[in-house]
Amino acid sequence: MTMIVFIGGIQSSKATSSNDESQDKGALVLALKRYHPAVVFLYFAAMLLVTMLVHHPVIAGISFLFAVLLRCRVIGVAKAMRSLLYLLPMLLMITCINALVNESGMTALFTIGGRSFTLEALLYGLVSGLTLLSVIIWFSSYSDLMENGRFLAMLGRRLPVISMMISMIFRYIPDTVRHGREIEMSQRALLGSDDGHRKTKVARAIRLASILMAWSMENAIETADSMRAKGYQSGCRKPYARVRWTERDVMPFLLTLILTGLAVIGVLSGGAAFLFYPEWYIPSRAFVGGRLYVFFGVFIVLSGLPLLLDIGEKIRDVLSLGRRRASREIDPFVAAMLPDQDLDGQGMLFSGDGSEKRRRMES
Amino acid sequence: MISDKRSVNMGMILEVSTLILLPVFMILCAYFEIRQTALLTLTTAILANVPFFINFEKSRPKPRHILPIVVMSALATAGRILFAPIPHVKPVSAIVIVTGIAFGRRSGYLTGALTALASNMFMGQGPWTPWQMFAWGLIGYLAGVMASRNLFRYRWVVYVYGFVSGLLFGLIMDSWHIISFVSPLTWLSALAAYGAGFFFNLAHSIATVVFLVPILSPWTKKLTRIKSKFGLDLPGW
Repeated sequence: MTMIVFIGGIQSSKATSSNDESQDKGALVLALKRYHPAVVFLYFAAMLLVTMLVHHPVIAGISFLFAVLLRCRVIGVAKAMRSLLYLLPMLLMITCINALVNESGMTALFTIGGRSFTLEALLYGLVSGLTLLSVIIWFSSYSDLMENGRFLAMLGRRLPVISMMISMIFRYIPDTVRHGREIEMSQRALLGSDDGHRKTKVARAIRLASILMAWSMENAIETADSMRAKGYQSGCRKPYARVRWTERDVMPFLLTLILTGLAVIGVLSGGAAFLFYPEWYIPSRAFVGGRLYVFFGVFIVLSGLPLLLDIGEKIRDVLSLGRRRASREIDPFVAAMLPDQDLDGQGMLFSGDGSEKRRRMES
Repeated sequence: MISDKRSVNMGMILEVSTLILLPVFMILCAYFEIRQTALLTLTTAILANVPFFINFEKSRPKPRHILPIVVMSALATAGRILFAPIPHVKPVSAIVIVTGIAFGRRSGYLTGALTALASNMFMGQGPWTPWQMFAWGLIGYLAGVMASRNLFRYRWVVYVYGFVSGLLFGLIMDSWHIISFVSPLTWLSALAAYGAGFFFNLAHSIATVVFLVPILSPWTKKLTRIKSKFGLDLPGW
């Protein structure tokens, strides 16, 4: 449990506040979060694929818009805007650098010392920047929805040793911090509090790090021996994560697959072609008229899928109000061991509050 | 015995070719100005890390071989989080280099790659994660190779390597950005983008040396002692 508490501590604002919010209003939990990890993974992989596959101003704009909307839904509008504020200078930089160093393009905006700055280069930079920003924002929503526990559960099938190592690293970080404090206290008891000189402070920090490393290493060897004694690698132990595929996962999974398939086919057949240089124009192989709107429509539905699913769930909630929601099949004991953020879903998972879960566990 | 040796060699060939193929592939992408490089390079970077992980899984490592890597990664991750307020100053490279020297090239690679993956779970995952995994892994791997070739007899060689490794890390990360997001790619645009990142990379290089100076010999000595005390030597690692 220490690990879980500590992860919560480090990601403090993110983990704890979302937890608090969801305990207040269970409705804040995103529908996507309650699906099977494979569904979440597939969706975000598809979104990244499609976003990076196309270099088209409208597509980049749609992807960016929905990435931001989803971000607002996941962490709240205020926080999403604040994180966007950090990203905007990046967009500006990419756009400007491209415009400054790139002389291709026909439409000169202004000329300084024989170098002309073109509209096309500016547009290209803007689209590149939007794509990069979208990718980053999609990624951050992904890591909020796919917590470390779920990620490791998925990784555990293919790379059991590596995923175990990652979870052990998490487990060791709080230990390391605690040992560091202990060493610092005993050093102070031995040597007295430092005289305030920079030099002594640095010397002590180095000493502390060195002791810490040796201590952790010896501890780790003990852990290794006890792992062996408990039958690690005896062949009868397997990674275990009880996430079950239910009928509820089928619809979003298929929707993602179909929409992504359509979008990729559209892109590969050149439907989203858009040339920036020498003068921006849409080549003849690109979709026009109705087909173009269908293509954009597919892309919009794909980008907005998490929000649509969310609305769908809400409607279903309203319709089935009063009826007890069928509990999701997660063993309460296992659920309690998942990382903190996973517990957000508890209110919904067990159609009750935390206390019911606790009662279940105790019984 | 023979088959053992052969499999080790095969693993080695696979590793070296992966390490070389990724940069070559990136240069080709840049040279031919292939479209949609962002997606292509991301996929390649993920694939570049796979042979090491698969090799490690296949070798069925014992807990005693797993744990040192875990501890060093945990220390590096904790260090990165501790120094997070100061941008580009992080002890990760230094710790990865020491691990590579003491425990060999593959342990160096794994420590670097796992530190990147695990610490990004705190600092934020992104398309840069596989690149950081590759870059730090490479730093650890090369440190291991150079140590086994006895090139690190003098301490200053390691410091120089630490300095270069910071620049190497920056070169890989900047190249990823340039190849994926700058178009059309000209010498001028590439130079401008590298120039924009140069001072940050310099800061990383200097920080790595500053961290290496106090920890290099005591940590290497301690790790070597622990290695011989508990018999942690892995053949071929």
